[in-house]
Amino acid sequence: MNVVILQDLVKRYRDKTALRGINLELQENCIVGLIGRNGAGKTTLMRTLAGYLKPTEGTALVFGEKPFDNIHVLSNIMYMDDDRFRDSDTLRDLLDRAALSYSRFDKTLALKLLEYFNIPVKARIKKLSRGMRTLFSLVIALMSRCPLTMLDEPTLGLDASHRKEFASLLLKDYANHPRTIIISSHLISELENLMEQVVLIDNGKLVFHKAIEDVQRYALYLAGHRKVLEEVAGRHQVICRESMGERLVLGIVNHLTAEELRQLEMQGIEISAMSVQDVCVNLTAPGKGGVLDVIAK
Amino acid sequence: MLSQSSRLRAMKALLYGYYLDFKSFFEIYFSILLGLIISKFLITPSASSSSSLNSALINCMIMLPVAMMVITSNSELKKKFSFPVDRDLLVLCHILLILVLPLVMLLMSCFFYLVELLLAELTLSVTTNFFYSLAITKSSFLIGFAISYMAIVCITALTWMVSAWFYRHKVPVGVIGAAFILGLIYLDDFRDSVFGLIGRLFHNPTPGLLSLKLAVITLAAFALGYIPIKRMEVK
Amino acid sequence: MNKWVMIALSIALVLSFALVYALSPSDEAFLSRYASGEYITVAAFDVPLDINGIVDTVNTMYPFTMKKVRMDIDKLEVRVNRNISGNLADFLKANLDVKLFFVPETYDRLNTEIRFPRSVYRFSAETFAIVGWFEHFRELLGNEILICVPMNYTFAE
Repeated sequence: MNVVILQDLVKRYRDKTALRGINLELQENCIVGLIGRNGAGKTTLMRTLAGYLKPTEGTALVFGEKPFDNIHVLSNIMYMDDDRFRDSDTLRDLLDRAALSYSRFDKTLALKLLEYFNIPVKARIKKLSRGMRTLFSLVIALMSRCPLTMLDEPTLGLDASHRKEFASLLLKDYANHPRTIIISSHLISELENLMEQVVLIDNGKLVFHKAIEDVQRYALYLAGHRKVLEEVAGRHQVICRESMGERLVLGIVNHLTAEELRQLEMQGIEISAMSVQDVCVNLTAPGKGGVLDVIAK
Repeated sequence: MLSQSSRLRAMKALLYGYYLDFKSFFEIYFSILLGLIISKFLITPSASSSSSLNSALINCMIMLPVAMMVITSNSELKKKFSFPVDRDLLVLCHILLILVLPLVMLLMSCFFYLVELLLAELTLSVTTNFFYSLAITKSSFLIGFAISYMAIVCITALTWMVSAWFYRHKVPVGVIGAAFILGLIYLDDFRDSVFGLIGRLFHNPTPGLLSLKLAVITLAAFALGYIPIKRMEVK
Repeated sequence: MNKWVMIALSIALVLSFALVYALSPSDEAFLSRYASGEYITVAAFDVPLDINGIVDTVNTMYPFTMKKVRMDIDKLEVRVNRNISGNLADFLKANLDVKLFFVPETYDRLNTEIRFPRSVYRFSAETFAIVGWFEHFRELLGNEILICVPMNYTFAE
């Protein structure tokens, strides 16, 4: 069953188009990484799914229904962003509200987790550090056990150990209570092990929606003599290129056969897999050089 | 498996949220009434002071419109959508607030009126230059309560409606509102025409007719305030 | 807040309403407290009865509520309602400073000058101010003090 169906989804603000005709289907019970640069439209997409925003054109369906102003759908959606709660709210009150709002909310476990993270439930939001706020939001988000859980930058402000613990918690809870989780984050490498699927968007458009294994195999780095690689570049889709004298590093979409790979290795070309993060970065590069080019000019 | 009975759950959670929000509102109102009593009887009694009932209308008409501006502000609306809620529920909760808050505030005034009577009796027994008189009857109390309630609900509903339409433009609306009030204070012709209009609307009222007019205005304000909230996006 | 505290507070508020209602007099009982027989004279002045005089009150009776009335009497009188808590009549008899004098070069104008040499505090346990919109209820506000003049006198505006 598809939890999310987007058909030609367009979201236009007064002076900006945030989403430009996105078509996407997400199945139930999977963890999806929503990747894109700043301003790519990730948050707009999630807010549209969360019923905050109304599509300008096209359709957004969640659980087969339009989410905007649909309490039946919204009761089964959890959208967590960094600006969710009021500073004056106490954590205990927010836990009570979450327990009232979500039928599956596990308050007992939520309290245990907060105790584990040393977050006092009597405190007000404003008394928490950035990281603690994020942890608290994550606890609420995960313990709500909504069939569609969306986490917008869930690791913002978390230190390395908490990021690791968040990943473990998410995986364990997901294993016990499977559901569709969409995670938008810049820390792709850290979340790579969590994701089952990757949705890459750029400038409001869907670049691809693939299983993580496919993204891990999506592209290759080829490094070697320019003469050899220029010939390869002519036959394959190049997604990045960096030259240092006669040496060239090419990033290409991986359509190479085993035979082609063997021949390249024989010609002294170094071949390595492109990381998911690099794939996403290279596919969404603005095409105007890097920041070093700006300095060089 | 989707959870059912979502509307009831959302309603409960939203009302609970507003209950938490308005706890401090009532603490402020309680403090104001208590402060007024203390100043009336204990600190610097003025030569003449009136009762909590007498000042209830003005207290409510200052505090409730401000509360309506706050609950319809962009940031507050956004926070309410942190938990599942649809716009119909939100409007329903706002209407409930508009109906319930004045009632509780007026009932609190009644409580403080009794406290004042008690304090007045106590003051009588310890001083020789203090006097108090009752200026209340059963009917004037009941009619006063009912009409005050309807007038407060009406003004609160109007403020809510205006705030709902202009919730993302609070600053210009505040400027226009302030200009309007200054105009009432300093421009005689303007003041006369505004009060003339209000006077025509409420000319020679009977309690029944006034209630009817207030109820119609309130219902119109509810209907008009519903429109912008229904189509509002959470940004 | 505890559920039981909330319930107790709600009951207290409703009880307050009921108690205020119960403690308030009926319209008839209230009006009878302010009937003319319920006022005591605390100051009286002989005035000429052969002129159509005009009485001007220089100082008001603040902080008390006052009504100026013409009635079938032969003196200018200051009367006070006997039902005011704290025995206002005795206090005024002892402390009220009222002077009456003719305005120079006129034959018919009199000034009453009223002062309270001692500080005095008044609390009015009034109903909701909004009832002042209705004529019927304006009559139910009562006046603590009456300034009474003979029928051939009028009051200056």
